[in-house]
Amino acid sequence: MKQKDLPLVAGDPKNIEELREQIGPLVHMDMLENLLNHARSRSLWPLTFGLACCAIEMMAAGASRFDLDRIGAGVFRPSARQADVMILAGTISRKMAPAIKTLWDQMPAPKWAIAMGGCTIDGGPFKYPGQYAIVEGADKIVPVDVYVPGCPPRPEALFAALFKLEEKIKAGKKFNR
Amino acid sequence: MDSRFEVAQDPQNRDTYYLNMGPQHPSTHGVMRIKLHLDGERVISAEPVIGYGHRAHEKMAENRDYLQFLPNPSRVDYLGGMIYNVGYCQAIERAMGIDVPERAEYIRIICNELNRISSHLLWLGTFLMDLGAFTPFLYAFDDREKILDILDRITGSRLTYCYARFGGVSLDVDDVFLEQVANFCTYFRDRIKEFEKLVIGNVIFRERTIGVGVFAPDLVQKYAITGPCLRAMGVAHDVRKAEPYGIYDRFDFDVPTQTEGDCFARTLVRMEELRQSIRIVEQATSAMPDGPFVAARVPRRIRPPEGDCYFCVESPRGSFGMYIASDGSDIPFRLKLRTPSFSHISTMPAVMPGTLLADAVAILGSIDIVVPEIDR
Amino acid sequence: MIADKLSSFIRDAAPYPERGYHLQGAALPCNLPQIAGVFLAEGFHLEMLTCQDRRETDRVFRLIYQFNRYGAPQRHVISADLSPDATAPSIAAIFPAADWYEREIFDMYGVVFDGHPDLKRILMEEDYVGHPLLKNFVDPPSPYRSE
Repeated sequence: MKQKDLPLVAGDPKNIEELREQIGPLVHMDMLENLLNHARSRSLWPLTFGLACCAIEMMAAGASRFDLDRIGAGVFRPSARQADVMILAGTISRKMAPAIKTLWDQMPAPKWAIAMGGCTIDGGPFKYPGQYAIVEGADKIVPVDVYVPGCPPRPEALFAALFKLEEKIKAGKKFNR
Repeated sequence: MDSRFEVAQDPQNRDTYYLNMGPQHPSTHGVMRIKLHLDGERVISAEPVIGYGHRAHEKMAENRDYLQFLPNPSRVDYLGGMIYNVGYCQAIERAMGIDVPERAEYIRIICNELNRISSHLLWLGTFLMDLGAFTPFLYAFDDREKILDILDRITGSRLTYCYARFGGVSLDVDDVFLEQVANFCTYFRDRIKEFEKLVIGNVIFRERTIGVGVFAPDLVQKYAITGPCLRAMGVAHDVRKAEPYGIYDRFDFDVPTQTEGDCFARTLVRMEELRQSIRIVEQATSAMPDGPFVAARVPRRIRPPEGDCYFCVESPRGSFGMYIASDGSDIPFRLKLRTPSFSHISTMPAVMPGTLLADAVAILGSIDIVVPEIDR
Repeated sequence: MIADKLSSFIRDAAPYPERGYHLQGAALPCNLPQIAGVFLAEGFHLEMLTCQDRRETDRVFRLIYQFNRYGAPQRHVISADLSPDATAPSIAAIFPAADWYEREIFDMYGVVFDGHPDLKRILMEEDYVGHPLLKNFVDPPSPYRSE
């Protein structure tokens, strides 16, 4: 870049835009961000948090046969302050909804949510005219990243969801929605 | 933060405070909340707050016909799903007078008891995890997966079974199934001894459970306690013996009892029940008859005669009853689920005061609750 | 024998193999504490307590009390018809198990029990409006429902 091409007077927005285009970013964060995302995707710490039937399959996924530790997601944290992925495993009742919102707000960013099972996708088997007790879909409370269908999904399905989430985290802002 | 979930000081007595255990707490085994009033570490009073897992099963029953309700019972108590599923079918069969073929009865018994073992194993793992021991959880889940493999092969699901049908079961079993079951029984008999060595003899475990969470004898009658909690108090009552349903009266098994009524007694009772379940499974496997697996004549429209009826089965947690009020139509007028955990958790205000906070966790673990079963 | 002591309430023997009950009876709501006392003295426990919304056909709420004892089953059911605007006496002082069952009935049907130590909602939130198990129940609008 030639020094003499730079405008001498700053403050003109148009000039600044041109300046940016000419010199490009001053500090390249992409590499660091990619590295961080790679690390994040391989050490997902889920919140110990079972709502209903699916929680048992979540426990099975963490136990001896399936072993979530193999992909670095086996460190279940009982405190929301230490967790970075919320696995919503089971039916969310309306009485429980404020508590889940609180837990989600307590989790430090970056954070992700997995909706496990039909109930958290849209109410699943418990959705019918006259239903008065459940939240029809976890996305009414928290932003969900991955949906896992099934009633309950098998542990393999939860693994697949975590792999999807890894992909999403690694892609970062380039993630194609 | 929602003020309902906060820790608060007692305004009357500055030395004591209120603590919420739950709704999200690793040892409430789901979403339940216990409001504890504490003096230091000692519990002054405990008030369970339930309803966080309420899914309106009973309203759902009034919205759909008897067949459409079939997948629900196994979701009421997902650990004993097979027993609830079979129990619901048996309730309708008795009300309608449907005869079940011999082979189906035997298949149901085998599946029921395998399910009971898997439920007790999960209880063992999570209870000990509440007490701080992580290894038994891995051992228990390892064995549980073996049972799930067997049941998965014939039912197609691992947890929330919908295998029983009115008048039988949905699919027949083959010789491979019987062989797998027999192999599992042989394997598991040795495994129980290993569990006992690992757990029962452990000094820390004994210190944490002996004399902790004693249910006073008068609670039995006042709170209608059933299941292993009852048998740990010296009452040898088991629905399978008292009012045998299915073909339980043909099998030779004991009802294990203990007299102390503490957490340790409840553990011993459940460990012995594992053995008794294996005994039943072995007897059923060796006597499995040939024949149809579902009744030839099942009415196309399930319409129990007008009136009330009650049917109860022995679930891993206690006596599970279904009260069905029929008005003679396809849809139940009222279907009430009498669940054992509901009765057991209602004793907590009487049992917990005076114990330490850590013991409160042990008590909650030892009574083996399933939250959606409390809330339905 | 329980049947003698409660002879004025017991209506008829129910066929156990079909119904699961040994004796069925009907009582006036005001007699319920007395009946519960007799059952308690005889060593029975309150196995279940529930309600039916029979306002459309009989203009009543029907309370159903089910007592049983350990060992050989002796399952007795007592029903009490309650007019929709009346209150029922609580038996929580006799059978503490009734405490939560009565709260559940209050929550689901709006039936009020006199003398209950702490009658409040049990399954729904405390600020919930309506009683879900009523036959004419309509759920109030909720942000958690998708249309």
